[in-house]
Amino acid sequence: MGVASDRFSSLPEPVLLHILSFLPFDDVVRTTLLCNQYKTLWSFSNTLNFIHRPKDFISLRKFVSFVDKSLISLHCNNSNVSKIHLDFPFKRCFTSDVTVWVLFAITHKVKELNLVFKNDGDDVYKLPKRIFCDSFLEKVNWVACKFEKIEVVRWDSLRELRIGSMEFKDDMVRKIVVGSPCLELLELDICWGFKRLDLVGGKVSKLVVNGYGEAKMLMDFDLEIEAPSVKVLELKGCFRMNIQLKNAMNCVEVKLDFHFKIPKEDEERNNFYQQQRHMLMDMFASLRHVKDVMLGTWCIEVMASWGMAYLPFSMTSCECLTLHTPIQERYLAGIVRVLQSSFNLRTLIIHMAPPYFEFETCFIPAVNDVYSVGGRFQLSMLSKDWGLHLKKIRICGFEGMRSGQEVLFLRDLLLICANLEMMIIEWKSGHHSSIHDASDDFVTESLLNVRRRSKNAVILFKML
Amino acid sequence: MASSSSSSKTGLKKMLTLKSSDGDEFELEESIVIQCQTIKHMVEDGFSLIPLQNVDTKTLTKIIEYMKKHAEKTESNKEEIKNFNKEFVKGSFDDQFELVSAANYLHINGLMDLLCQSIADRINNKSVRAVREIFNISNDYTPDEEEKVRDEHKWAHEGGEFDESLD
Repeated sequence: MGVASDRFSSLPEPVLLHILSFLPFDDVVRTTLLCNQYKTLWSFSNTLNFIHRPKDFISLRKFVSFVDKSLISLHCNNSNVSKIHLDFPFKRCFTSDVTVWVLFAITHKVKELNLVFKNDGDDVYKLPKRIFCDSFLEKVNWVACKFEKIEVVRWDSLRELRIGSMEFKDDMVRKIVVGSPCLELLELDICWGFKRLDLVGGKVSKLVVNGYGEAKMLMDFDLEIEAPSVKVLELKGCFRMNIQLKNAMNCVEVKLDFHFKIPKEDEERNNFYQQQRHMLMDMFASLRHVKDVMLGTWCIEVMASWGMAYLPFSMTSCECLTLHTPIQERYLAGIVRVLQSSFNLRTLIIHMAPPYFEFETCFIPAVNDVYSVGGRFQLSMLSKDWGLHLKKIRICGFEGMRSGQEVLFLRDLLLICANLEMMIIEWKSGHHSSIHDASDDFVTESLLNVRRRSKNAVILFKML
Repeated sequence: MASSSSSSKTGLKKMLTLKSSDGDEFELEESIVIQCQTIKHMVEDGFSLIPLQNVDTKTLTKIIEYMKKHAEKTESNKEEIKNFNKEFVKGSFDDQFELVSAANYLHINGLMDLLCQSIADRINNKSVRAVREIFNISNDYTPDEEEKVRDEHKWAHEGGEFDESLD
């Protein structure tokens, strides 16, 4: 290797390789042309990223042949590959090529194998049987692949399993749990076919379920989740069936940011919201002990329709509560309903960003008896000793005054919380930075001048 | 070894001193510094004054800034950390190369990934000529040699259009 003249080339070789590991592999190979020093560096890469968004079939075929040739050269160089990341729109005609690559990964004992084969059609890659007893795999992310019918799974080292747009049945979940003694993270991204996620006996500590795929209509079964080992549970995306949490006894942190496909028929629709309320109530009950809770807009929306006749929000152990919801009339009742029974709250965070999914406009919360004073929002529903432990409130995505209710809401929180130390408002002021807005002054003045119950509370505006 | 705990004013929190190659000393809580594997191992061996001969004051100040911020990391301030990271990698290439060498020496994995990713992003899909220019790499191939290397890896150069811009 020659003496490098520039600062980049003088970096230690492991650092150079680390930098190259973030590049697509064709970029890495093309470094050979830079100067003599780089002639062989590429062949020591331990991470291979083959990423392609083809314009047409010819360019896809070129890409496939590029991967073929790269792997052949690396194989001859007896290299030490530990991660292979393949990401391109898979076509059925390349099945045998991909299988050769997967077998390369198995032979080279790679620790991380990502096969991201999202495509417009319904081409799925059928995973070869041998992959199910690869005991060197530690991390995988498979999208649009297909599980073979297999008897047993033997993933002795697997710690993280992410699968997306894949169909599997309940017995596959069991085989994976039983066959992967080290599995810590299980993430399912718009998968389908399963009715029960039974993780009993495994060590999975984080479970993420992002939506349920394929179904065009409401499902007539409940999705059951039994996950006694899970500490962090995240449910997001769109579902079409009830979710039942059977066992979440070790859960310490939960994110409920899912939503539901709303039925078209009016009749179904009435039933639907009632079902939603019951589902959430059951879910909250099984998560009663959780200390760190995040609720998305859907939960807040359903709770807004949660009349006083229903049981209150039952996650009373919650110490850190994060709500992803706009502070608007439509959601206020829900927000209050959640706060009402959160007696142990220490930190409250509200992300005011609008929901990432679209609500159908015709839905209006049925019951609003949570706040009834002139139809205007009042936190007076909260008891006098509410929020005694609440120390910190953080409001993200604040965009100044909209309906005025957000200002009243924040003001009321300052009036109520007896031991508040800090209210931080992260103010997104980007779009009209040059024009001074009088309503902004109104916001700061009303909050700073309020006779806050906690004399020492600091109010901090962070302009972003 | 110098006495370090005597100067600690925070009582229960264990303090450590990092000393840069320029001789400047920085006192920090142990909980912040152990993000760095190299120092963590030294702490385990009982050191409390840690000389860092390969890291100058300017670089060390930046690295401490990084470690302090990342020690505050929780579920709820992800966005804040993301913004911090974005700002952190904005320096010149010379500064970044200095930082990446130090991060490599100190074994701070998160920082290493952050810096390498940011450097890689600058040359993603760039033409060979552009990369040479961006990093000031001088081409020591003869035209014949260059043609030979290009031939060897012909398949890597067939991909498509490469970015010739320098930013």
